[in-house]
Amino acid sequence: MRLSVRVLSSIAAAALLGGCGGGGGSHTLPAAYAPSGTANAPAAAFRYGRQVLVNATPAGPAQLGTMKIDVQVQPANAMGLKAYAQSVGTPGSGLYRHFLTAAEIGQRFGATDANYNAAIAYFQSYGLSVGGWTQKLMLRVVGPQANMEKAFGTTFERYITHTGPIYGPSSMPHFSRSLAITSVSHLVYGKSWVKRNSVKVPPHGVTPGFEYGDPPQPLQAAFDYNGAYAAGYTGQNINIGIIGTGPIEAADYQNYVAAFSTGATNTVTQVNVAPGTPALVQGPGGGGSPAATPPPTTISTCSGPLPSCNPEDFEAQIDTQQTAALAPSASVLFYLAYVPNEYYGTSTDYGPEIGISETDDEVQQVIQDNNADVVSISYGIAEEYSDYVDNNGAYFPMGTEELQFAALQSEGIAVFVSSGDAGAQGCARPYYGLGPGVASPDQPCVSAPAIDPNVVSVGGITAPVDAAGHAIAPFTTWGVQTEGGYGATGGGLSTVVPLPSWQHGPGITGAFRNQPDMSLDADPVTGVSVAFDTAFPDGYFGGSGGTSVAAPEAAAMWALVLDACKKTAACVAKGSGPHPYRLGNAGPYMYTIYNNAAMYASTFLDIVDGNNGVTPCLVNPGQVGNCPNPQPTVNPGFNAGVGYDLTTGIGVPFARHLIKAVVGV
Amino acid sequence: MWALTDRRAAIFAVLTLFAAGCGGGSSGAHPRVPATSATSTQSIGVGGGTASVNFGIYTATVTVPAGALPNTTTVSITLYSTGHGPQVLQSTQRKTLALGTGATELAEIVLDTGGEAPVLPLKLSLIGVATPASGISIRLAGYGATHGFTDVDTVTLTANTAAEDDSNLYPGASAASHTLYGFYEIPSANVQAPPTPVITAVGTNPAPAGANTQFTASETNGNGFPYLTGTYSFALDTAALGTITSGGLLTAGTLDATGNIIVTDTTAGRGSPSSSTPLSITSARPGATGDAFTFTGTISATDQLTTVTQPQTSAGTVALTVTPMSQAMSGGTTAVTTPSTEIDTYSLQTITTNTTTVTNYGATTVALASTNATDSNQVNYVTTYGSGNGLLDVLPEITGAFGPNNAALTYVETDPGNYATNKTVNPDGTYVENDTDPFGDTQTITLNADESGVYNGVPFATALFNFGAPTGSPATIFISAVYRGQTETVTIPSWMPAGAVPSVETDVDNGSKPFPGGCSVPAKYGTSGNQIVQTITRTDGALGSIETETVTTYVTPANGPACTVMTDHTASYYDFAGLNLENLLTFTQDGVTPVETTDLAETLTLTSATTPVGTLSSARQTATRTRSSAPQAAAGPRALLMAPLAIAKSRFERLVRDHMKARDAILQRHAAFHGAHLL
Repeated sequence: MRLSVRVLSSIAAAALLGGCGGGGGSHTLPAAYAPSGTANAPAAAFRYGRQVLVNATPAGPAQLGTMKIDVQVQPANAMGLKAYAQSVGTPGSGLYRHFLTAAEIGQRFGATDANYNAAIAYFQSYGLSVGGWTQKLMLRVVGPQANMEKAFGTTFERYITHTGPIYGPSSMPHFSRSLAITSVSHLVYGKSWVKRNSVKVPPHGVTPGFEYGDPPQPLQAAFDYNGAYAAGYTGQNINIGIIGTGPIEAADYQNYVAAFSTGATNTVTQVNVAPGTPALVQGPGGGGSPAATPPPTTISTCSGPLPSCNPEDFEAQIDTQQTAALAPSASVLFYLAYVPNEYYGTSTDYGPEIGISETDDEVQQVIQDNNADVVSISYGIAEEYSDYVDNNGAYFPMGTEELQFAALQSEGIAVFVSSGDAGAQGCARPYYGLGPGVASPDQPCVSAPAIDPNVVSVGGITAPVDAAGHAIAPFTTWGVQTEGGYGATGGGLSTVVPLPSWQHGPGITGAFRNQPDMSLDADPVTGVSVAFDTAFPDGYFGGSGGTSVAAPEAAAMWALVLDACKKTAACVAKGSGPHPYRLGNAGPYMYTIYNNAAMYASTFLDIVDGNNGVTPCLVNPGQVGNCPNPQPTVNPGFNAGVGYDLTTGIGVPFARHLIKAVVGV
Repeated sequence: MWALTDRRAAIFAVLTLFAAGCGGGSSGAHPRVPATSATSTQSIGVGGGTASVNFGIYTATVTVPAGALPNTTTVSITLYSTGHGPQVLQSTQRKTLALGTGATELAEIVLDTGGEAPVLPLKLSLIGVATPASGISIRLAGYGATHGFTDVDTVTLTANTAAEDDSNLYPGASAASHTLYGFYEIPSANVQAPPTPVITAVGTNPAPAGANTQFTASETNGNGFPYLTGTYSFALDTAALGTITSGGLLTAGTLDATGNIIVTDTTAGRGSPSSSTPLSITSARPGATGDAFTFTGTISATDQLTTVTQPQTSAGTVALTVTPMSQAMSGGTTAVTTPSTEIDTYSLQTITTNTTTVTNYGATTVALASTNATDSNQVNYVTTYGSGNGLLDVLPEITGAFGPNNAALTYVETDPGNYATNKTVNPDGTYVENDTDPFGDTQTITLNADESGVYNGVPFATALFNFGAPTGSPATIFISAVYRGQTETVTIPSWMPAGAVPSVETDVDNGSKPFPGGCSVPAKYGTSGNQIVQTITRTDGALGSIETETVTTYVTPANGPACTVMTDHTASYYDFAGLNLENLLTFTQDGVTPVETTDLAETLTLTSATTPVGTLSSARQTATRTRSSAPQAAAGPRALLMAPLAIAKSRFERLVRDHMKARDAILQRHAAFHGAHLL
C-alpha cells in the first residue's frame, strides 16, 4: 500500500563511471574477456568497469544509437594533483588556500599535450566527435555505436544483472594503437545505477497547494539562515554551481518565489556544457556542437526521444530552488550537458535522459569556468560501480571523479554531495545488486561521489518544524522512525576510499571514508516544496525529501560563509589566486569545529536518535522499478549517537554560528 | 557689596584689639579673654512677658505676647558682640549673604524658648542704638537655617530703641528659637526688598492617580522669621494634575502628570505671598512613559517522542527590555501600550522578538488586552484577549483566590511563506481554528465543549478526522478518519481525565513569599514578593493534548514583577505529523502513554528598573502594596508596573501555542503518508 502513495524517483544513466552488479555468480564473462593486460588484442590497460561484468548474463547485442563516453588521458601528475588538493585545504601548509586556475591545473597536473592530442586524433580517426577542457583531465567522445565499437575494438552487449539491464563490451576493449588512456567511463553502464537522491511526494492531482512541503522560510528560521541574513550574509556575489541532472524551466523558480513571497531577487542561470579545449570537433556521427543547447522543456508527461520530448527534471528543480532560496543573493549556475543525438537505441534500457548521464562533463565545465564558488551534487552511485574502483574491484586512486574533485578543491571550490537515500544499504536501494562488493542486499555500502575526500557528504535528518520554523519534536536521523525502513539517509563506511586526513575525531572509525559528514533536512515527511512544471498545465508544488534536499541546503549555507569571508578582509587575506575568499572543501573546517567542544556545541546540533536501516527489497533478475517486494523486517542500520555517527555525521550546522566558527565574524 | 563673613572677621579683629588693650596692664599674667556675650533668662508663661539682657552698650529684649507660648517655660536671650554669634549656628546655618552695600552690624541675638514653639510672634528690640546719620536705616536680619540672612525686617528706632516692627510684609512673623539675629545699619538707598516667603504644600507627593490627598501649607525652609498664623489657599497650575480645593484637598488625575501646587497666603495685610510646590501624579497602571525595565532569565524546551527518542532540549538565556511608551484613558480604564524586546540566546541561534503589549488598568484590576509580536524570523503573532480573560492581578492584593480568567481570545499568526493561522477561542475554551496556506486553501479544526472535535484537513491533505466525546465507563473515544475516500474507524481508551473541559484556570494570591532560587533578584529589589500563581489546564479533544501552564509571579511593591517563573507541560496523545512511521494519525493505545511530551520553562528576573517620574518607586511602594482587609471593590487603584508580567506571560503563551499549533503543522504541508496507515 505504501507504494501506491510514495514513488521513488526513476533513474537513468549517469556519467559516473560505473560497473555492473553481477548475476549472482551464475554466469561468467564472455570468452573474449581476460584479465586486464592479457587480452587477445592489445591489452586494455585502462579502467573501464570490467568488474561489473563478472557475473553478468549476456542477453544479445545492445542497440545504443549515439554513445557518449568519458575518456581520461593519463594525467601528467595525478598524485601531485591530489597532494595539492590536500595541501591547499590544510591550515599551516605553505599552499593553504593558494588556489589555482584551470589552466594551471592543466599545465601542472593534466595530460600532456602530446598524449591529449594523440587521444583526440585517435577517436577522431574513427569518426567520433571529441572535445575537452582546459584542465585536460577528461575528453568527451561522442558518436554512433558502430564507430565507438571500432574505436574500442569490440562490440556492445546487453547484459542482465540484478541491477537491471546494462550494457558493456562483449570482449576486452582495446585500442588499435598505443594510447596513454587510464580510464574510460560508459563502456559499462546501467541506467539504474545513478540515483537522484530525492524522494518525490507525488502530487496526487494538480490542485495547487496540495501536499507541497515546506517553503524555504521555516528552514531559514530553523537552521538560522535568518541569523546569517540579519548579519548581512545572503550569498551576495557568490556563485553556486549545480551539477544538473536534467532540464529545468525558468518559470518554476519565479513561481516558487512568488508563491512563497521569498523576496529573493537572485537568478538561476543555465550554463550549457560546451567543451572548448580543444573545441569539440564534430565527427560524422554527430555529438553536439560546442555550444550545444538543450531543446525547450516539455510537459512532464511527454515521453519519447529527444529533442521533441524533453521533460523537466524534478531533482534539478530541487537543487536550483533550494540553493537559490536559501542563499537569496547568490547566483545559481545550473550546469547542464546535452548531447543532441544521444539516444541509446530503441530500448528504454538506457535513455534518453539529459543531464544525469553527463555529470562528468558538467563537473569538467565547472572546473574550466572556475565561476562557481560552491557546488551542489545530488546524485550517487554505489561505490562498487563507480570509478573509485578498478577493473578488479579494488580502490582506483586516480579515477576521473576523484581527480576532478581534487581539481575543484585546488581551485578552492567547495562541493556538497548527497549521501544517498537508501540508508545503510545506500549502494543498493531501490535496485539491489549482488555484484562485487555486494554480497547480499543487506550488506551495508555507501554511495559515490559522496565518498570522495574532497567533498562534504551530506546526510539527512527528520526536521519537524512548524510554519514558523519552530521545532515541534526532536530532530532525528531520517530513517526508521518515520519511514520504517522505506528510505533513510545514506551513511556507512566506504570499503575503498581511504579516510581523509581531515576526517577525524570521536566516533570516526576505521581506515576508510566515513559517511556522511554532516546533515540537514531530508525526510520527505518534513521535506520541502518544489515548484515543478509550473509553466505547463500539469504543474504543481510538490513535496520532496531525500538527501538531494540536504545537499543544496548545505551548499547554500556555505555560500553564506563565503559571502562572510569575502566581506572580511582578514579572511580574504589568507587566500590567494583569482578567488582568495574561497575556502576550498568545507569538510576540514567542519571537523575542526567538531574537535573543539565549545565551538561544536554552538555550531552543530548533534543528532542522537534514529537509525538508517532499510527493509530488504527482493528483486527478480531484470526487474526494473521501485522495490516491488519490500520485506517487513528492517535491515540493521547504523544508530545515531552522541558525536559523530554513520547516520548524520557530526550533526546539523546552524548558519549564523557556522559563519562565526569558520570566518570569525 | 561685601560679604558678611568678611565683615564679621574685620569686626572681630577690632574687638580683639580692644580687649587686649583693656588687659594690657597685668604683666606676666595670662591675658584676659574678653567676654563676647551675655545671657539672661526669664520664666514666661501663657500670660506673656519679656526677657532682657545687657551686654556692652546694648540691651536686647524679647517680647512674648500673651498666648504666644502654650506653656510656662524659661526663655533665654543672649546678646553677642558682632561676629560672636554661636559658632554652631554659624557653621551649620549661616551662609555668605550680601546685605547690601554699606551695611554695618550692631549686635547679634539668639533666643531659646525652652522647647516651646511660639504660636504668636515674638518680637526683638535693641536698646542703646544711636540715631544713625541721615540716610541710614536700622534693620534686623535673621540667619535662616537654609538661606542665611534671607529674611530682612524693618526696624523702628525710637529713643535709641530699635524695635522690630510688625507692619511690613511680615505681619505675624516671629523671632524663633535657636536662630541667630543681627541688627544692622545700612544706607537706606541700599536696603533690599525682603525675600518672597517660601511656602510649601505638604502632603502625599507624588500622589496616586485618582486618589484624594489632603495638602497643608507651611513655611518650611527655616528662615529666620517663621510665619505662625498664615491662612493658605491652594490651586494647581496643570489641569492634568486633577483638582484641588482651596483648602488643599487634591483629587488627583488618572494619568501620570507633573506640575505645581500654588499656595497663596491669604492672611489679611500680608500681601498674598505665594509659592509653588512641585507635584507629581503617578497613575495606577503598569508603568509610565519613560519607565524602563530589564530582565534576564533562562528558557528551555524539551521534546520527546515517548517511545522513540531521547528527550531533546534546547536551552538558552533570555534578555528582556521593557519600555512603557504611551497610555490612554477610556471609560475609567488606562490602557498602557508597552513595547518590549526579548532576545533569546540559545547555543545554536539567537531569536529576537519585538512585542507591543497593551495592558488595561482599571480601578481594581490589571489585565492583558492584546499583544502583537514579530520575531527575527518575521513571524507575526497577534493575540487579543476577550472579555473576562487576561486578568493579571486584582488590587489591592489580598491573599486568596481571585479571578479566574475565562479562555476567550483570538489568535492570528502570519508566517513567512504565506501561511496564516486564525484561532478564535470561546470563554469556555472551545475554539475554531482556520489555517490558510499560500494558495488560499483553508483547513479547519474545531473543539467542542464535550471534548469532541473535528479536524478537517481536506483542503490540505484530503484528510478528515472526527473525534467523539469520551463516553462510557471506562471511557472511550471514537475516531473516524477519511483519507482520499478511504474511511477507517477506531475506538481508543480515553486519555482524558473524567470530566475534562477545554479550559480551566485558577488564580491565587499567596501573599509574600521569598524569591525562588532560580531568580537572582538584585538585593535592592528585596528578597521577596507577593506570589501570584496562575494555573491553566487545557484539554484538547481535537488535537489530542492535555496542557498545564503555570505562571508564578513575585510582585514587589516598587517595581512590579521581580521574578516570574513559567512552566508548561503538554502531553500529546495524537500525532498528525507523521513522525511515527508516517501514519496519518498515530494515537495512544493505552489511554495513558502520550505520543509526545513537551516541557517549556522560562524564568525572568528583574535586573534593573528606571522610573524617572519623580520618586515613583517609593510612592508606588507606599501606594501599591498596602495590604488591607478591606473589600477589594472599596479600595482605590493600587497595582503598578505589571507590564513586564504581561509581556512575559503573553510571549510564553505564544510559545505554548506554537507547540500546540505544531501538532497539526506538518499535515498542512506534507502528508507524505501511506494510504494504508490512516490510523
